[in-house]
Amino acid sequence: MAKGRSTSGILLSAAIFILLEVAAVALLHSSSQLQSIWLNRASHHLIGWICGTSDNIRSYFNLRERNHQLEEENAILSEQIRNYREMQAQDSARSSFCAPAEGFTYIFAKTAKISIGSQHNHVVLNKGYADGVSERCGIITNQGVIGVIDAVDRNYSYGRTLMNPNTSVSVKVDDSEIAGPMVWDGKSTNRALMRGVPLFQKLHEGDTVRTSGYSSIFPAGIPVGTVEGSTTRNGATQDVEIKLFQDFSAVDYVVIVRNEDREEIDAIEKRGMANDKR
Amino acid sequence: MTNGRRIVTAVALCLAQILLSNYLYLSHYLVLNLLPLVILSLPESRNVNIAMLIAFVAGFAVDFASSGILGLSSASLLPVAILRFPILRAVGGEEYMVHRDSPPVGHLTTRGVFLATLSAAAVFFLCYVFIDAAGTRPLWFNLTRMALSSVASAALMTFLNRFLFVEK
Repeated sequence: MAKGRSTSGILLSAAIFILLEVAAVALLHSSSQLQSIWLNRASHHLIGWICGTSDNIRSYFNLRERNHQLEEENAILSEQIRNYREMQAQDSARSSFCAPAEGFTYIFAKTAKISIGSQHNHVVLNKGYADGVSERCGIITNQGVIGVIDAVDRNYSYGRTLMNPNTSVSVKVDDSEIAGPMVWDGKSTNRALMRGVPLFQKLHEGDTVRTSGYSSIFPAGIPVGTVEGSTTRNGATQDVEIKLFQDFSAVDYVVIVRNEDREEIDAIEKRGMANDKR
Repeated sequence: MTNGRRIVTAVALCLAQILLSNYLYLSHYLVLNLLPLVILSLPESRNVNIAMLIAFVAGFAVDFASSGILGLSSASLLPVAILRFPILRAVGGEEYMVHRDSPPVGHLTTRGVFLATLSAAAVFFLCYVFIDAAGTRPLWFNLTRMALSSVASAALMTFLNRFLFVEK
């Protein structure tokens, strides 16, 4: 009687039922091809369902670990993208200076810090004397002159930018013999003045201004900007207004130019000056 | 009803089923089967384990002796054996248990017998029809076959029960 049966009795009945059903199904499987195919198909469906379900359950419980893996992978990929972009930017900067001027060595650097908001602006670069940088090296980009190195440490160097009243760069205007020192106008991040140009020199708006090469710091011919106009100074000379190609608010990668013959030039300059004094 | 007579009756029902399976073809939609009555006629003193063994052996014997698929009747009759007590209790209440050593169906009303055999036949044909079709026939066909076969078999079993198990 079913009523009041013990658990072991129910388990025994269940075991006998399963055993006999399995025996009957085995008989079916062996005696009829149609039933055999059907049972195989059902078995495959069942196995597929069990595997799928167990896989889903396993995946669910592995989500935390998987998320962690994805976060790590994401961080690695972000780092790779950042490196790639940096390399691309460096390559772009290098490609602009593929042919260094004769007697000059180019050292590619990244700005670690640059100021544009004060009257004495400066730049800190990530290359120092360990990389061959020395004082009074020039700093340029493919869009013009940035400044001059003032102090050098092992891995970093400090330079005055053109946006500093103490910085002066010798420039000349294309297709003319007009040359003079270029200084910051003291107001904007992309304008400078060429001082001391004689009044009789006629300049045209849009003429390109390049480094003259008359100093030992910058090679000649680096485009700096264009002539924008001129104003008379003290009735004797004129100040040429130059619109710079380089906007100082967007400086990232630069090139430090080192004149290989500078020591020799400085030495002979000193000797010449000493002779003049005698 | 003595033990010997019950065994003879059960064997006779199995033989009748073998004859029905081998010689009576009514329709694709209609199959007659008397084996649920063999299970329902087991006295209450025969527990579910014995009922399952009898179901397996009876089903195997019928499949073996007829042109059926070996294992089909056994697989279909085993659920009937395990549901024997719930079916009888649902139809006859606790009353049929008074007669522990006689067939419970012999103490039920005709309506009760029909309901009990119909329930048992429905369970039997639910398995039988779907295993026999093996996924090759549409659902409506299987359900029609199951319904018609259950009703017809239940009617036949109710009729036979009147002569075989009802004590006058």
